[in-house]
Amino acid sequence: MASYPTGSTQRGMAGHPPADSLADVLERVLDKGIVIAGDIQINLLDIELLTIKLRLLVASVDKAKEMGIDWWESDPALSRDSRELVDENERLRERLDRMERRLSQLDAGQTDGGTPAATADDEPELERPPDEQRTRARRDG
Amino acid sequence: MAKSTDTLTWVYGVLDTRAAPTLPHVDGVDGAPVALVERGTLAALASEVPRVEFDERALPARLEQIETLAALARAHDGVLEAALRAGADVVPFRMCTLYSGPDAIRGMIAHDAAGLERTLDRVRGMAEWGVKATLAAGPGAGAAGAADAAGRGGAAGRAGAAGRGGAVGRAGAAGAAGRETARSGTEYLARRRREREERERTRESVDAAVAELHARLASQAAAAVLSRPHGRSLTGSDAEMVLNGSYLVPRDAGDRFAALFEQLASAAAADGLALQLTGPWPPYHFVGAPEEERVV
Repeated sequence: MASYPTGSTQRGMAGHPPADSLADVLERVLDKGIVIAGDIQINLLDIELLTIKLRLLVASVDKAKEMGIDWWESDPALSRDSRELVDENERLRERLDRMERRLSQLDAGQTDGGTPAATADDEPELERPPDEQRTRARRDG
Repeated sequence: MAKSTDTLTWVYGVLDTRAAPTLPHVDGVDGAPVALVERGTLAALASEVPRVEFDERALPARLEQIETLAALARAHDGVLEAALRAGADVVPFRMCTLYSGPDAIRGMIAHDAAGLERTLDRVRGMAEWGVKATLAAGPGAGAAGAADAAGRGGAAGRAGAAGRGGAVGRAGAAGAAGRETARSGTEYLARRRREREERERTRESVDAAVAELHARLASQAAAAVLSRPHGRSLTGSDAEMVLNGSYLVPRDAGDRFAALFEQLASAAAADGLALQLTGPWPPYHFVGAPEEERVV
């Protein structure tokens, strides 16, 4: 029987604290080219959709960071088979990020009396008018 | 393993019983005992799971719970890793490979025996190592951040703030805002151009360093696969992942590969790259059809 040499780089050993992050594990157990599915078919498309849903579920970046989750970014099965889905998801996520940023800026703006222009600072010029309108609407309402 | 209509059988992978060591006791999914389902010279590592929780209807919903997903992934990997550590050669299967029972598994092995044998031949005596490289936010990135922050006072700043420097710019905004202001639009634009050119030069040198790094690692591997780097938005770090490689390395050469890694990691630090090594893993990235592997 062969035995694996014990070294400082073995999984789970000290010296490589982030070695077995969930992202590392998931990108391996989900990312496989082999297609030997069981006779109980868990549709792979469902797993791909799952990654999209998960991303939306894990809207809290802190929570995701804490769990080491960003594996959907790196699943080649996704990039290979459903590029469109991934791209769409990417856009959605970016929108979500923008929205979250904007919301926090709005909150900050309302507490310190900042102007709408200041709250829209990070955003491309084109997106400012709706943002200002919404800010005004919130204040008027 | 008794056949039961109340259970399904989760398959972790297939191993060669001719070279199968005594497997250490390891719990599978949901803590169920793992057993070998043999057919000829091949055997599946398998354990039973309750059908009601794992069938086509129940499982997809349960996978949406991150805790469940994580537990299943770690259990799946744990069984395969135990086999690897025991010295077995295993073809790891995709997580959530489920069969109606041992008979169905034997049927699968019989049907796919030739392909499984070929895959086993490729990964025999091998383990997978992962190397990730991240680009730390260096002095160049800091300068870009200051520029973004300064530019934010004018319309040009907003127009130019998108893109790679954006996240860094936001991070550096608090400290740099007001410290540096563009005296004129022309001067500001010229500075932006210089900084962009500087970033592009940095980018090129990073790309070259990463390519060299991957080549060195691959030179000591039987095969190598590049995966898409993790995006940084959810890693929550300004550090950008620039390499996500997997390397198929003989198990008895693991120490040598790790030593090479340490050597490369020291050198890469000078390029602003932080390297991370994980492994040994079961050969997850190397059990597809050969043509699917981007062997470098």
